[in-house]
Amino acid sequence: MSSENPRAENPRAMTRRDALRVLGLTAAAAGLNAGAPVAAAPTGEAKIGLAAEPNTFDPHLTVGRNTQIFIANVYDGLTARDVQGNLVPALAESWKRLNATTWQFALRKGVKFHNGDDFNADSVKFTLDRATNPETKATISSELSTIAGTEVVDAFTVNVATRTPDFLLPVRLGELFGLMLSPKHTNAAGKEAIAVKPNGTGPFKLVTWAKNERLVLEANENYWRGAPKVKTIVVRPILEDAARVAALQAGEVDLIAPIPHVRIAELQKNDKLVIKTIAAPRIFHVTIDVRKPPFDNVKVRQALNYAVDVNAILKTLYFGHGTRLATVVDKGALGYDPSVQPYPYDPSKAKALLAEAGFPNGFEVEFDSFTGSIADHSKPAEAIVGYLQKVGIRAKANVFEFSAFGPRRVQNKTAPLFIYSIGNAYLEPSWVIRWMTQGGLGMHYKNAKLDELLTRIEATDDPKKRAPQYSEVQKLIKDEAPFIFLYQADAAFGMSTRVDYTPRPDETQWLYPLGLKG
Amino acid sequence: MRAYIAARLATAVLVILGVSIVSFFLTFLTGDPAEIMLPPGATAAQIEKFRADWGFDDPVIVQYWRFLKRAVHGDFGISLRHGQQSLPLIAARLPATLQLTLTAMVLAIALAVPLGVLAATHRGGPIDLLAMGVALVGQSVPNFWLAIMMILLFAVSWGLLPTSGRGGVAHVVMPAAAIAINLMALLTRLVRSTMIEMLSEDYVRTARAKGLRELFVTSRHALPNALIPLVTVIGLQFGYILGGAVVIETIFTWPGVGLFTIQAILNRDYPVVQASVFILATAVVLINLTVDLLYVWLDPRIRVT
Amino acid sequence: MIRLARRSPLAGAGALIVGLVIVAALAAPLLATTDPIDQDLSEALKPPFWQGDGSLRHPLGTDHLGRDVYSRLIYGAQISLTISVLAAFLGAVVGVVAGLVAGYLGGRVDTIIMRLADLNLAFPLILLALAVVALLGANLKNLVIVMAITTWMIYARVVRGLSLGLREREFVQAARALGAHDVRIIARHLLPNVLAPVMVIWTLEVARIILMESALSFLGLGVPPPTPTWGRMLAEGRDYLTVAGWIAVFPGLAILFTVLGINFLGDGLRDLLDPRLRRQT
Repeated sequence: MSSENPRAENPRAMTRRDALRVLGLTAAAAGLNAGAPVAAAPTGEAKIGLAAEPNTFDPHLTVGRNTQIFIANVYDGLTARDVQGNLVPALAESWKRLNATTWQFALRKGVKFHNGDDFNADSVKFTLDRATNPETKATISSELSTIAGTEVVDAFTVNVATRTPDFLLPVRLGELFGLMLSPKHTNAAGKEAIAVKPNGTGPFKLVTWAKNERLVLEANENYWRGAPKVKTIVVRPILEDAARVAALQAGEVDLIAPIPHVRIAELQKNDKLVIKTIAAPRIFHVTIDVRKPPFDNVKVRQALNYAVDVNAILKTLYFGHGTRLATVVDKGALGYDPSVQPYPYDPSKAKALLAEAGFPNGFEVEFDSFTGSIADHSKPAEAIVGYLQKVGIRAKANVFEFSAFGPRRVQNKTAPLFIYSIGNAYLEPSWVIRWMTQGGLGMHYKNAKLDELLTRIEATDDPKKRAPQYSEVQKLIKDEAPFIFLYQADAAFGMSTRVDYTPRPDETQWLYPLGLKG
Repeated sequence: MRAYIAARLATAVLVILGVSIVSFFLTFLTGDPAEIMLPPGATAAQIEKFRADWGFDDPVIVQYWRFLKRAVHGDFGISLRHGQQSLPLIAARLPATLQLTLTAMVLAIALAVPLGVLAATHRGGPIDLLAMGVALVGQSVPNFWLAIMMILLFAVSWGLLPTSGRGGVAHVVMPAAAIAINLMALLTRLVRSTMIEMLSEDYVRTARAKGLRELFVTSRHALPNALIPLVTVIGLQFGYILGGAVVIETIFTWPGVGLFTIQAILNRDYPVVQASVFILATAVVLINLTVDLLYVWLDPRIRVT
Repeated sequence: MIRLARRSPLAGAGALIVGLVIVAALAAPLLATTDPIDQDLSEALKPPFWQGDGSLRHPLGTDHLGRDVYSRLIYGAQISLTISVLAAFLGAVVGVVAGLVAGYLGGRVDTIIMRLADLNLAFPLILLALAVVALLGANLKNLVIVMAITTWMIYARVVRGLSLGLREREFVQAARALGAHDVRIIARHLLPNVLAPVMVIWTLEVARIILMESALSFLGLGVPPPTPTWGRMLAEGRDYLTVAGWIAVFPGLAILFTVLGINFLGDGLRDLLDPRLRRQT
């Protein structure tokens, strides 16, 4: 991972950023656009078909990952990610930890919102105060609950204080939950207007939006990273998979996401199309309620893992477009250790372990799954139930509609086994594992040694030093087997040959670098 | 007559209120949206706090009363998902739905009436068999399967029509046809069977015995009475059409009320569900009233109670 | 039975088809070659025996989890038919009674019944299905009830309309003048005259309910997996239409075939039951 603050090592070093800024000032002296590197004017129109559109452009009322990954084109956060997934500066040029519970951000100068308002420390304080204000009823308040307060140090420096030490704050305040608003505009326009008429600092402006019909983005020529390559992007929500793929094949759109896995092979044969896949950081797993016997016995839990042929599931349901995971740490996350091997498929070993644990004839159990939601969980669940039944575990499948399943989790009324997935948007295993050991929402696994390892990791600022510590964590989780470990699936994008686009590993639909050839 | 209309309007209001109450309770009882509105990383404690902030943990009656007080002023609340006033959100989707359903109905009627009449007047012959065959196949085909087949054939393979989305004639043809096919089949059979009934009615036999030409007989005497069940069924089908439109709107991403409503139901977006149910209920009730009034106009023997 | 076929070949053909389907449904365990919910991922998406690498072991191919399509089709007959017939019958009984009573008695009773029908009609089916599924669980019994609730209103309204007209007819007036009880009049004079259209509607409704079940499955609200119903198979096959079309084609054909048969039967019966036509022959 890149170093986040070069100045910490050598305050006098002329960084690349300094050099660029000097160039920018020189360019300004020559009468050109200050702050923005010189770039060719954006041209052309790209048409995109997506499975879902954002629910709102108010960054504090977003619901669902689909919205967050899209509105990052209209707004900026303090940090961002590059195409490899490294954390890089955005509206903050650098940041450092002043003490255990305070982070300081040095803000970029010369950035303007689409309507001309200036971006500065007041914008940051306003945005974070609004997000944490109970009156806003922000849907992202849970992710920013560690923030205690924001202090303006000077026009381009802010201190953010947290209640407890939060090593993930720079990530939080990035594209995920730190998209910045202009105080003047937000107060004037009001909550309802912001939902459909956003004013951000991002590479695109929202020009029109007819819900479920089309959404038109236009390039922000004064974008601080330089204007995007494409002038107009028309986004059409096409909910039905078959219709979306058909639109791409018919040339009605230039890019679509996602493509169902079953269609990938067929589309790859089409010369006019380019198909790109990337491992999505969504970790599929089956949660085991370790409090309920016989699941308090680690042998039974391991037996469950030996019983399921995950590779076969990947091959038949995902057509090979996925990665088997040994634990709950995804391939793109910091500290992923490929030397920790997944449980092999061994139904006789599973039966042997069950016999050792006192269940030579298996037992009965309920298994929850659901339909709807951002990904398909019911098909893999069916397959898993089938495998469990083959080793004598008579699993009875309950299928719920996603919104009806939510309350069951909240009230801890889920079956001892239930399938779920979590998108590791932070690309940090500790975040996922803490969530999985929270003692609520149906997840009740706790381990003191694991806690200790995680706490030590969270106190380590340098990502290079954090990474190797995760190996022990993964080994521990694998042996303890508090889940049936499954996989992460690939996300597939289809585009015509005239589109130049590379998907990002954290699922953000970052349209800024999208280019059109010819 | 005026008193009848007034009484029916009064009960219409009661019906709409009833639908509103039942749908509110049902949506509430299937769970509030707190858990799905928050990001996946939220803990159980944070979800509870969110529920309290938004007032989801108040008793149902309290929540309904809060809703009703504002609804009588036309304020159905701000959509939980879209952050906008819900009634205008739904109202903005109406033109698209009307475009689709009216096109489908016109298509269905324009095919069904002549087909049904032809079948009835040539009963037992090959025309009858053909018409019935078409009708039967039409009503046996699952419309979502047909829709996807149409997209694959007309849009992808042959490139004749756009694959999805809203627009003019080219865009509305496939979705309207997918909706119309079931309806057309049903109406054809109904027209045929009621025409057969009417053709054997005494007054029609009298007219035929008088030597009037066949065609004159069918259109002048039989058809208006045959229209009664037809009109009834179309009125009834309006509710079903809107339901069928949901599936078709999803496949073609036709931005109508049906699609918007099902998204709101699955997202537990109460204000939008309430606004939508209100609009749909009003439409259905008004249509039924119109149907009942048409009864009286078509068959003077029916007394209005 | 033979007399039926002779009087109306249509009814005969229909009875034959429906009979076949019923036999398939009843004899499912004998006719099916495998357990319909038995998965084998290594056999997934195999085509029917006349294509590619299909085999007679799975004559109609396998689905995405390696389950035998033919066996699921046979068992699906059992379940799809049961749900649809029960739901349609339940709805018909309730609806016809309601319609007769409303049309004949008129006044307050008519208003109440018709407004209830309006309420039911104005209610989005999806919401109802969702609520029932969420609250009471997705099982066959609840699905039958949900679908019956969506069908009774049609009978009620049509039968009421017909009753309103019949009420004024001479033979009804005559019966009343002779002092017959309301129930007797309804049962003896009104019911037979509405049976023909009700029969037509019932056949249409069974067909519609079979299709509605598939639509509910399409939206994820139908019978839960791994139970095979034709509707569920159609919904599952939808993702694989371009790659493994057989998963959806065969249940689609089964629905078509069955519905066709039911309609033939209904039409034929209508011809036989119509009192006016009987007078004519």
